[in-house]
Amino acid sequence: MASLICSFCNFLIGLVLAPLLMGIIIRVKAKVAGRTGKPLLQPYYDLVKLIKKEPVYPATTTWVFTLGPVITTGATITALTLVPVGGTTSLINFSGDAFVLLGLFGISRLAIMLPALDTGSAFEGMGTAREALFSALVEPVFMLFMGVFAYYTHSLSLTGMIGGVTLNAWGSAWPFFLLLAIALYFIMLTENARIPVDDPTTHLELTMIHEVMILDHSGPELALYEYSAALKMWIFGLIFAGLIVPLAEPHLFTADGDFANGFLPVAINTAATVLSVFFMAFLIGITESTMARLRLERVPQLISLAGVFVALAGLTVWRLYGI
Amino acid sequence: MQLLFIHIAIFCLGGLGAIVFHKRPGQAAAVASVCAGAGSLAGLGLALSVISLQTSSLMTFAYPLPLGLAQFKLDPLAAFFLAPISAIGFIASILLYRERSLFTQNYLWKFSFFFCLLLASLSLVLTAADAMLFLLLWEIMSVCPFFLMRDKNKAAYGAWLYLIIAHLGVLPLFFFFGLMSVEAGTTTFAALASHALLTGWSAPGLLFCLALIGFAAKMGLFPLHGWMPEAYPILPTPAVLVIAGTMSNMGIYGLVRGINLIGMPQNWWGIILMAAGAVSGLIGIYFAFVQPNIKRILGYSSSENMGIICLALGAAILASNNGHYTALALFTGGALLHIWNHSLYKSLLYLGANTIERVAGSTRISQLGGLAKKMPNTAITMAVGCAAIAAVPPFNGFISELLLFIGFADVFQLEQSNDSVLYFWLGLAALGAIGGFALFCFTRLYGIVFLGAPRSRHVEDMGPIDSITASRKHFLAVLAAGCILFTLVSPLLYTYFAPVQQYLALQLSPTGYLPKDATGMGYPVTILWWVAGSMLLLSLITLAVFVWHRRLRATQNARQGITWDCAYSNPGPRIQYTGGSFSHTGMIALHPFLHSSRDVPVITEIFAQPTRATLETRDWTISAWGRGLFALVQSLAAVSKKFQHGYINLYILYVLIALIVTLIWTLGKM
Repeated sequence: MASLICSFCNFLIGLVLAPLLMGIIIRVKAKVAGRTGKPLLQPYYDLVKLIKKEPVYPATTTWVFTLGPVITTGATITALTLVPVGGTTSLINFSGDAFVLLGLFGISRLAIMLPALDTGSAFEGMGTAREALFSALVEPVFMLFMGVFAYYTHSLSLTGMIGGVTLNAWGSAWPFFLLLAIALYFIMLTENARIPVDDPTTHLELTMIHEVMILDHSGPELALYEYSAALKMWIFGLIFAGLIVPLAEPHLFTADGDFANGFLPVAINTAATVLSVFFMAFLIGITESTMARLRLERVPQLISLAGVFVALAGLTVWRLYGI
Repeated sequence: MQLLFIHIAIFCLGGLGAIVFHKRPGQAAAVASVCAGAGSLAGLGLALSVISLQTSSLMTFAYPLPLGLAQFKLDPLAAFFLAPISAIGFIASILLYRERSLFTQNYLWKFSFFFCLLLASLSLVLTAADAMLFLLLWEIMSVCPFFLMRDKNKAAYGAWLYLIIAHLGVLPLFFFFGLMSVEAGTTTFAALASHALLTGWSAPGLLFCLALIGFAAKMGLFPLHGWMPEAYPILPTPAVLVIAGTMSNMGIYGLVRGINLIGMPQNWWGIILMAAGAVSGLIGIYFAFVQPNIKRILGYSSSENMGIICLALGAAILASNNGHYTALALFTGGALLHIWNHSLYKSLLYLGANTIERVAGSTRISQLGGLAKKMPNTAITMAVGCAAIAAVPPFNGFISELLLFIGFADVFQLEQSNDSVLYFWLGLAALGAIGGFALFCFTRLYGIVFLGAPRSRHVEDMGPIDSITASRKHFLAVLAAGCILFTLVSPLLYTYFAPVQQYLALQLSPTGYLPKDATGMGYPVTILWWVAGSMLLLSLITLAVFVWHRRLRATQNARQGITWDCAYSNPGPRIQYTGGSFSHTGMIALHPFLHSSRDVPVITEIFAQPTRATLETRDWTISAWGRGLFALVQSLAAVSKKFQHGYINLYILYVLIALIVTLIWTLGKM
């Protein structure tokens, strides 16, 4: 029961803090560029403002246009229930939920792409084609990532996988985790449409993937899309934090069954994980400030690089468990 | 068992009725379709009862031909394959009855006859328990679709290509069954299987390769897949539902039976099967996403799905040889559920595609667009179909692919594992790649056909839908409902099909032992319950967001505007993405697999004339077959033309030479 409360609180923390990641990225980019930048809480103000605005719907659109944001947000929130925070169990965990996570990302992606094609605009079509291609190329890499991670930790649920990243594991197999973390970083840049795959600050044709698919959405629909994009980044951040920060499972009860420390161990783990997620946002900000977007033909090469890192990580451990 | 022959007899009655009434085609079709529907219902009941009761019955008849025995066996595996044939056959029969006026009238009775014959031969192939009988019935089954394609265009390229590739496949099967029968001395499956277990074959590897190539032609594995995108578009609706939905499953059935007849499978068989499946899946979906025509996309996608099932079966062989019984359960369960799912959503998609063709006049996606407003029922049901085939939760395609993913990953949970882990990693990546591009392909299909603005004047000026086509929405709805409900009942379905799974595992390998209730089977069912629960949670959360959004919209005045056009002076439907635009970047990225050719003219005048750019992806496998095999045969045949010159005096000289040679030979022998 207590662990269920902890998992639920972690879930709520994710729901609340996700837009802050966007704020951190914007702030880091501004500071590197020598500006003060927007307030950290600006994404929250933007969401509230968007919800209050009246939407404008293009004449060519159908029910797909208004249903898309709803499905994307629903799928991303459901995906958040599957991801654990800091060594605890996730709200919903079962063997195989790592692959259900990928499926939920699939439907959230479909629900962004179809409304984009619904508008009948050349720009949205371009963004959809690019997004569909790059996500199709990243899918096997992400799948192999889950497979390699599952092989080392002997578990098919995200809770087991991230729970298997302990100090001992890091001590004995740190190249494995380092390679996986770098690969996950590239996968995350592709899936969340950050530089070097896409430029999230412009709407120019050269750089459009995610931003252009939501170009014709306004008001509450745009708020839902922005929120689900932030939540998707939070989910990737949790997995990234799970890889790079080896946290032991927090024990709520001592050996005698005494609820001595209360929720303090869980709170420490959650705080450490949240700080790691903020660190990942900081890294994204630095990456976005120091790199330009790659030419489109180069993006499959970036994805292949991530695949090579995952394969290397797999090769470092595949003889670990004997014949 | 008697019910099986009553069910076949009803089909034969239907075929006979079609011939008897050939002067009155409407009545011929009515009789045939009623009999086909009744027979299909009987078949469905029979199949479900055999699966539930787990019976296996054998029946032998007198057989007039010198070779073989007329032995029929109905076991749970055959019943499992019979179930989708009967279900889809029933729907197709109703469609034939309702839409008999849409056919050319003097072709209709022939179509009805061959439709009944196809359904009968499908059931008979499933229950044939003798090698020569199987081959005979396989031939009949292969030839029927050719006659079902000859309505509008008698010399259709697709029909001939289908027939050629079907026979390219039957040839290895002749050798396969022939070699085994000669070595064992008998032709019945039971005798061959026991010979395999007791004595073993002298060249099991060769037998496996022959079986794989032979059944690959029916399944549509690369490189024998070329007939699917050519033949499926020219089939009328009732035929395409049965053929595209269920006939390719016959290849799977044949392969499983073939492996059972060969006996103990070796590891490399599993690896070859996995490789064949992965290559077919990838190449199939790569070709699918560059096609300009809905029905061709669906044809290549059939090849992709059969590739996925082969990947699962190959991995099952590998798993059972290495003793990973949980993975074996997941693979066999995933393969069986994928067979069901494929029948459901492929039939749904083809019915939708044929409806679009009827209403919009064309299935070229770059001429369609905005059909969601003009055909709302088809749009909703095709959305379910496209999402299901792209393996997206919460639809049925996701469930079967998830079982396969977990099957690949299951080996990783063990404390000790061997080199087979590498093959499971590769299989996982391959299946992920296939799934990723399936999403690409069907987003393109659905988005460009149904969404946006109409891309051609014809679609824009489309009239209202006639009543016959409108009534198709019921069938579309039934199939779509199947796709949706499947996820929620998948644990129950899995438990229901568990005996078939056990049977399948035993067929794949004599040591493929799957316990019925121990951890081997409980684990996948637990996963499916959890997945069903999380899909329910997905629906609830989405519903909550939907309700919040609706309430919010009720308080606002939403306005209508135009699509953002970046200040173009004349925006319109023509600036939308077409099918070629959507697949263009992918086509370039995957050039080594696709070999697309671009013909883009260079415009040099100041006031240019209208010109044309072409982006073409031919199926290079068919060109390769043409160059490799058929050109060779043609050159050999051309040599023989030298002897057929028409000079009768030289023909008399040939007779004289033959006589002299025969005389010398006979004298030499004495």
